[in-house]
Amino acid sequence: MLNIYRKELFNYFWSPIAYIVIPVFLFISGYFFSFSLYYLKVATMSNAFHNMAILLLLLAPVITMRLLSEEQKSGTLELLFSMPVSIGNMLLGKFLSAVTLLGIMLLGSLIFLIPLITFGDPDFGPIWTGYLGIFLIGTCYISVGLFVSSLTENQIVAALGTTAILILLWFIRYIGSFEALQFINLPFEFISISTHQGDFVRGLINFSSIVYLLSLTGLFYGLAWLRLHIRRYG
Amino acid sequence: MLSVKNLTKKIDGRPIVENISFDLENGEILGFVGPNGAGKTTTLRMLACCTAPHSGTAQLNGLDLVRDDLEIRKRIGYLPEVPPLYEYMKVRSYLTTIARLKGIPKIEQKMAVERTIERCYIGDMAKREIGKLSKGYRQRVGLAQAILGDPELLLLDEPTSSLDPGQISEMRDIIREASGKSMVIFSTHILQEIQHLCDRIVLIKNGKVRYQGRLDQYSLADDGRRSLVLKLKGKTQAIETVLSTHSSDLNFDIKPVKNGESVKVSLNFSDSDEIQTGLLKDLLHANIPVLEVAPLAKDLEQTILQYMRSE
Repeated sequence: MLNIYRKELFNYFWSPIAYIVIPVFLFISGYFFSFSLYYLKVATMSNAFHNMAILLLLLAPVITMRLLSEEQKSGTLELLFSMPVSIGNMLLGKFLSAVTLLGIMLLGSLIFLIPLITFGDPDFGPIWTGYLGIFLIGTCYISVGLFVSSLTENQIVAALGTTAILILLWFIRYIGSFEALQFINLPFEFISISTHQGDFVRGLINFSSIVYLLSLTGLFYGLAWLRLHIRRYG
Repeated sequence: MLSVKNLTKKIDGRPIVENISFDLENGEILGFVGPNGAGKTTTLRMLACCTAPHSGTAQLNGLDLVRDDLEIRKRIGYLPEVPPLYEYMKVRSYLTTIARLKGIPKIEQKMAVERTIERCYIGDMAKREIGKLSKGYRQRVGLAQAILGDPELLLLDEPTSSLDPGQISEMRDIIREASGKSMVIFSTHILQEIQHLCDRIVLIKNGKVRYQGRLDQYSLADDGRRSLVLKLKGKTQAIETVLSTHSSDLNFDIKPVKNGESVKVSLNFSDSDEIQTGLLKDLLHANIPVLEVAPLAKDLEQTILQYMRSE
């Protein structure tokens, strides 16, 4: 697992991905953060977390698109199958490498705290829970991306497919409000990832939100495992 | 030792490989021969644990292909038809990554990588990015990852296809050298490869084995007889006398060689070492010097094609 993790992390920093995704994330989320700080004049990061989650809808697919697509296209998935590495360990190494990149992005965003501390007196409770929330949401996105990447050898298709699923999961709460769709009796509000971010940015650690996000992560991770298992043993 | 028993693989219910069985002894090179689409790659992929058989099994030195697949994977080296390379890596770091993935102990990794680089003649490319290498070098790097760590079983899928003659010759040398430490199975549809490399062959068509056996001039003959060409020094009559009194099973044809001092004798007899050694002794006793003994070259290509065409 560690060897796969190391290989994937090396790939992020060899390729332009890390050098594009990290600055883009920090620049855009920093722009929105300073914008809201300047106009609202409140020492809080709640808007920043919301914007980060939206931004990650677009950036997470870029992080995950090549994880399995590239291996399938170049034939190296066969190589990994012939190595003494289980499918679970292979996926875990890849998943954790993407989570590490996410972690680096979020660590970089800690720089936003400097103006907050310098010019205000922020309440750190909602900030740390907000970070926990965005981290859990980010890992959930990565898991979706990992699964979609296992379905195709085309990286662009993987990225677009992941974005489509993530946008659906983010905005699905609004579907329930359409009158024409009222007959579908589904808990759209609960399914939507955006619903679960609310409590975190308000400083609450909602157990059901944590369980939901971890379950969603586990579900897509499991689907990716199943997909590779079928490919190998099916 | 590798023992493959009734290996079968179906795709969408259609058998791609059907009841393939063969054995391979340590140090042997087995040529897996057949036309495109015969099931060669599927068989190799099954042995490389890249896909599971529907039925049948294989034992590698007592380990079961299906039950002990993680252990088996520690003991094999696999080169698919398209070399599985990480283009962005440099050759040495690629091989180091493979050494780690293969579970080669850390203290042995560096030495194993350097030895493999040397064995595959890629020392001058070790610091180059794989994506920038020529086809021949890419193939060699692919082979290097397969032989890294001296696996017990080496599976090579068309390792010499689309290489130039010089590169093919180098690849053959590497494979021959690797066979000192590993059993080698390589698939090919190029018949010259078989003649140059293989100890034994398995001919496969439509997923079924058509012929298997040792690859020498005799075993492929389906009449169970051996053919030799002798170059002898002596008079035609004396030679004829010795040959005709030796064995009733012996068919021969004597032709004088142009310079007149020696004759060429074509022999055909039951595939037996006794007849051959007895005959050579008789000739020497009759003071007829034997200048040359050569198996009568059968057209291997024709023989293989004959097997391939048979339904």
